[in-house]
Amino acid sequence: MTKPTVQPDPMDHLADALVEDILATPPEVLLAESGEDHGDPRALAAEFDRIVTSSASPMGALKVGSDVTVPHVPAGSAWQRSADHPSWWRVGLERLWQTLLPAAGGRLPPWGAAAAVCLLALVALSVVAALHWEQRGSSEEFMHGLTPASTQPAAEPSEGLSRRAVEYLVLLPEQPNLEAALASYRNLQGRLPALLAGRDPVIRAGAAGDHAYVAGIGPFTKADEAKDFCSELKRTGAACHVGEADR
Amino acid sequence: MGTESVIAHHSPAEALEAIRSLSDRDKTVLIKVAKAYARTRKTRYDYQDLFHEAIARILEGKRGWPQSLGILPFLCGVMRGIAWDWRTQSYEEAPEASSTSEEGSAIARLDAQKLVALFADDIIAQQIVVGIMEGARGEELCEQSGLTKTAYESKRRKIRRRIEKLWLEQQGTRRD
Repeated sequence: MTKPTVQPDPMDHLADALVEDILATPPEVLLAESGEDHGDPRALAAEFDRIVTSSASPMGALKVGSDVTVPHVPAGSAWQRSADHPSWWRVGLERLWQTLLPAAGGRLPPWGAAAAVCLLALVALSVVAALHWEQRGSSEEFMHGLTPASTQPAAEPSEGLSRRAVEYLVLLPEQPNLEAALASYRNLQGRLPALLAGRDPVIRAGAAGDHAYVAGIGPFTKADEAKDFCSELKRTGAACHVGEADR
Repeated sequence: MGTESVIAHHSPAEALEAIRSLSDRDKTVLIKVAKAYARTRKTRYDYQDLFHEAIARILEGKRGWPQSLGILPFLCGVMRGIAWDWRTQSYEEAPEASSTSEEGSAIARLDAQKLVALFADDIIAQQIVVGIMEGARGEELCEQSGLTKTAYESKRRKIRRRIEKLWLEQQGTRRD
């Protein structure tokens, strides 16, 4: 389907005017607004920190924190793509390619391009092999947010694979796609604001196919806490079960 | 190829470092900007999604941070671009996608009618809102509404705050 040419609409103009005003507002006024709206002048700054921490966590080499939460995953987004493919090595290869080009004066002869492709392939293989054998823990940590959701918590954590303590999630029923998983969480959040207001869902890949996803709540540090929360949800008629966050 | 201009960019790691080092004021600005761009779109995604996506694109190297630009305007620009993409994508989405649950209305999706009604008690603010939506800016709006620059800016802030409070009330997170 061909995308229509899109002209700015009234809401685009409004968004720009709102942003113009936000940028023109003195710092102390903005923080006071945050205090008025949320009871804490730092509330929005704290939310910013949470989002940055969880956004940065799947970046492998760039990663600093190890937050488990993956709040929202727009379909087809860079965020989703970065989870599907370990982009840090792809970015590395792109950078190497960009380094080779200027070194060759901006263009490579045919044999040079072929040699560069071979070199890149070799580098890619060595990077993948090295990571596979030397950083298995990191790779699993990188992908853990999108591995199939477990339906039952394991009895004991596997030592050596993770340095973190075992954490638990309350998982909602698996959905056929990401939108449905997000919608299932949003529906529940709308129905149960007392329990879920302000909580971001943890999105996990489902077990029933490439596009299946599960929305979860947590992580909880103790299985009992997760079970209690799940029981509370069940009392309101919601379906859920407890799973291990790292599975 | 020879006509391409070379723009120096910071690395994704440098961008991440700069993002982490922002002041509370700048962090507050960026969350508010994310809300403004996300909640004026007819999309099921909210501001957290928009902000996440912006960070992901920067860290993935898909959006390079030009060395000539501050991190704050750069992030605002990235979010604006993504919000724009979402709007063009929304033409391809199923029309019922965002109206299947109460959540669709809980995250206030503004439309022109709702906005004008929101300022029914303030004719000047209403005129400014209509002018903004028609694409008018600064001086032109001052002229139209007969306000001085300072009075216009004060009115514009009042408009923004009322819209932000509408979002808060509909989200049920406002503390009174």
